[in-house]
This record gives sequence, structure tokens and C-alpha cells, in this order.
Amino acid sequence: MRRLRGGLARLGPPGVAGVVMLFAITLASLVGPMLSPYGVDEQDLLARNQAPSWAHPFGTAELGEDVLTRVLAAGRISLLVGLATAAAATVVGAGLGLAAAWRGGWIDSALSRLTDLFLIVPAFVILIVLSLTFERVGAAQVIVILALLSWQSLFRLTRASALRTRELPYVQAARAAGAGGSRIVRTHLLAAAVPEIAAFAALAVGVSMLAESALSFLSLGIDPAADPSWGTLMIGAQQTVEERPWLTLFPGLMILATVLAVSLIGDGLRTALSPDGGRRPARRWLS
Amino acid sequence: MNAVLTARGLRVTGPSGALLVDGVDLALAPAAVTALVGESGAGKSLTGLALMDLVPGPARLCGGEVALDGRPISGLGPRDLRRVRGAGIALVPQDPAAALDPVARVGAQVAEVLRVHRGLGRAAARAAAAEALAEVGVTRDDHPHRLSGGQRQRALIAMALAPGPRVLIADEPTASLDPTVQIGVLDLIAARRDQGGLAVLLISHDIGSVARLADRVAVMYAGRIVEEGPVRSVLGAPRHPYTAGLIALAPRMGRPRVPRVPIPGSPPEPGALPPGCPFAPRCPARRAACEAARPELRPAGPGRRVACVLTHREASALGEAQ
Repeated sequence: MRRLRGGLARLGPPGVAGVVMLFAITLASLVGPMLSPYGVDEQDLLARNQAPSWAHPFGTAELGEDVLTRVLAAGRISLLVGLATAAAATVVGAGLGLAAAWRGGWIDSALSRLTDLFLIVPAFVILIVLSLTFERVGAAQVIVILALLSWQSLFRLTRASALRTRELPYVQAARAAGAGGSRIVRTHLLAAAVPEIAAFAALAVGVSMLAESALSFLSLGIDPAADPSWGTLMIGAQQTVEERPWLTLFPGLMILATVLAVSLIGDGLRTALSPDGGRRPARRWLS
Repeated sequence: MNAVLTARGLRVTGPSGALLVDGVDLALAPAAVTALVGESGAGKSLTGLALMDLVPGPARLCGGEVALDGRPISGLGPRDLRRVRGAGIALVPQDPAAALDPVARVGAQVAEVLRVHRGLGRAAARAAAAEALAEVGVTRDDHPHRLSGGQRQRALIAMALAPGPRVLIADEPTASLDPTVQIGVLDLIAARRDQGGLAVLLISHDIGSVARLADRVAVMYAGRIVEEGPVRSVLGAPRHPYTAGLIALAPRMGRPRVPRVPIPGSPPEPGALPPGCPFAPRCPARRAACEAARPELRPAGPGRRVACVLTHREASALGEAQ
């Protein structure tokens, strides 16, 4: 408990605010729909298209569904997509980046060219094509596709960090002490890249949630009938946003709040995890 | 003398092909400290790294044989070489501030070495690491940037000695420390030499600071050893004018007012050595023969060798003039 409090303190006030926001949103999404008096798809034809009120704080939708309940339920999918995509992209990007930097030679060249290839393909076009190819898109497909298209920047960050670190005296000293390659990568190169990796992971949660929302908004993402996400809730907003803004406003605010929260956490992590506030000794050791 | 570590004909080339270490022979005796002294760029650190086959790119180890306890280690596979590094030959690197991982506590870093070389489990390694650190007087387990320079240097020595190596290569172990702390660090190394029979190669630019600790001294200039022998006889009666120059530079107790004379000029660039003796352009006793051919190391008294054309008499006359 004390360690948890110490860790939170090092994130700084904005980072703590981010943690609290993300925790609140996650908890509400998980528990909220169960506590709500309305079902997620429950229709109430006598209460169609109502503006926010005490009975329906976020208003009601076309067939009288409670928007608050739907937004909270949709949060489950949006958060799942965001977190799982970020996790997958982080593992792939950091792993390949460390491998490329440590092994060097043709492995580095091959991985770097592969990354360039992924960077130059127009991500959104690929996503659209893939979404149209799959008959029915579920959360798993979206996660895989988004992860495949978002690990490249972390690859470059991790590779650059590891290339810098591997020349530092303490890595040379580890070699002199008899440490092998995998041990050096695990204990020194990975540890030195943690600030970059943590910051990327936090930002990737937000970015992939936005991408999922955008896809869903274009009806190219997760099948809205199966798993509503914040993006799918906004489908058709062009027609409704003027007369019934609450249909679009509340899912949008949730996306905004979540992305803001993970960005604050990412910034906090980057400063908290850098030794000496991000500065690092870069001295040479040969006279 | 039964040397623990012998090196013959070590050669290291730089990126342009220039010889940075040119045929160095070393023999480290057990329970003895051999000092390797010389100016910056003489190739001291590279020699130390070459002994472990750790010459950093773009420099390259291109010749020489190293044997530990009579077994050659040149040409070992990476796995066997890793066992030799740390457990057989340990290195205390230059610059203690940079030689520790800034993101881990020193206790964890010492424990890591013990897990690799002694195969200890996590908990046992931690306990042994705390003990090893306490032995050298580091009682606070903290991140390197929160330790003092002396504590960091002693932590590095504890890390090097923890696996029980036969040979310790200490690269300028006192360079960045206060004089009082320097003495503590040197005493620590001396204690291990006397108790554990450790063979030590002490690399230093300051011939004065090694005088109290070293048993033998080897003076390096432009990639070669130019004089070596027992520390008393070398420091008492240097045979090479370069050695005499280094001794004249060292601060000495009891003679505070004697002006220290710098050696004129600077060491030659590795790629552009003069044809004869590389020290000749800076040498106060230069003569025609010096510029003709580079003098080879030749025996000069009991246990001593020197690479200089001066006779014993000429060298001592030069020593008195200084």
C-alpha cells in the first residue's frame, strides 16, 4: 500500500488525476450497466428521443434506450480495444526494437526495413479494406489490425534507446563481468527504455481507441449489433447531432476523458521513470 | 615466478589501421600488484580490455595470446569467454559514475553478478551482495546517483571481487576520488592482494599514487612498454628518460617547493610515429641513434627491462640532473 502511494506520488498531480479518471471510467463501464435500472438494449417506446432528465441523465435514443447505460456498456469494448491493442503493439514494438539494436547486422536491417514498410502503407486505407474483407468484424479482429499498424513508432524509439544504451560504460562493464547478450538486453537495455515504452503504451491506448471510434463511426469497425463501442454509438451523428446532440455528445466526452486520462498517465510515467528526471550520463570510458 | 595471467604480443589496431597497442607482453604474479602507467592515449586501458577480449569498436584486437593459469583464453567460444570474464578476470572500469546502471540499486547489480557466476538463487544472491557491499564499507543500498563517488567506486570493486576472480584489472580506480578516499580504495585492493592472493593490474596515469601499492611497474608510451621492473628499483633509478619525466611530475611528500617540470611536447599520434624511438622528439637525452631505429625492450638489471639506448650510467646522470 505504501509502495502504491509512493509510486502514485512520483507520477505528479496530473498523472494521479489521469489514474483516478481512468479508474473511474473503467469501474463505471464494468459495474454501471449491471446497476442501471435499464437494460442495454431495452426499448421504451413511450420515452423516445428524450433530452437528458433525472430519469435518463444522458437522454434516450431513437427507440427509447437509456443512453447512459449504453455509453457505459460501450465503454467495455472501447477500453478493451484500447488496452489490448496498446499491450500487443507495445510487446511487438519493444521486442523487435531491442532485438534489432542488440543483434545489429542484417537482423537490424531487415527489421528496420520491415518497419519502414509498415510506416509507409496508408494505415486507414488498409483498415478499411480489411474491414470490408471480413464478413463480420469483432473486437478481436479490430485489435489485431490496429496493433499491426501501431507498433512501428515504438520500434524506432526502443531501438534508438537501446543503441544508445549499449555503448554506455555500464553495459560494457556488464560484458566485462561476464553477462551474456540476453541478460544485458533484459536487465540493462529494457530497463533503460522503460520511460519510452511506458509513455508509448499509455498514448497507444488513446490512439487506438480513437482509431476504433473513427472506424466504427464510419461503420467499418466492430459490428454495432454485437458489441457497441463509443464509436458505434455515434453512427449516424450527422443526422442527429443538431436536434439530439446528447446522442453524440456523451460518447464523445467519454472518448475525450479516456484519451486525456491515458495521456496524463503517459506523461507522468515518462518523468517518473527517468532516472535523474530524464537526464542520463553519457560519458566515454576510454582515456 | 608463476604468473596467473600472461599476455604475449598483444596488438590492437585503430580504425585507420594504426597500432594503438603494439606487442605488449605482461605477466601478472599472484598476490602482487602490477602498475601500468603512462600518459593519456598510451594504450593502457586498451591493453587492460584486450586481456579480456573486450576491445571496443572500431578498435580491434588483432594479435596476441592471453593465458589464465596456463590455459589459453584467446580463441575461446563466447560461452567460455563469459565464464572467464568476471569469474577469472574481473574489471573495475574507469569512471564509477558511468559504470553502474543508473536505474537499478547497487545491491541488485552485485546480486546479478553472483547469480551469473555462482549460480545463487535470488534471495541468496541478495544476501551475499549485501555482505559483499558491507565488506567494502557500502552499507546503504541505493541507486548509484545517490551514492558518493567513493561509495560507487567501492561498490564496483565489491562487484568485481564478488565472484572470486583470480585477476583484477583496475582502470584508474582512484582517478575521480578525493585523496583520502583514494587511500581507502587502494588499501582495499591491497588487502585483497594480501589475503586472497589476487593478481592485480592497476592502470594509472599517476606514477606517484601507485608507488605505495604496486609491486611491479610497467611504463607505457605510444602503445609499447618502454620500461618495467620492481617498483622500488624503477622509481629509485629509472632507466628510461620518459619514466624519469613521469617521476619528476609526481607530487611528493616533504618536497613541496620543488617545481614540477612537465615533459615538453605531447605524445605522438598513433598513425604518425617518428621512425626511431617514439619518445625521441621529447627526450632531453636524445642522440643520433635514437632517430635511426626504435629501441627494443632489453634486460636491464635484476627483473628489469628497458627500451632505451642510454647506458645505466647515462640514465642515472640524467636522473640527477632532474
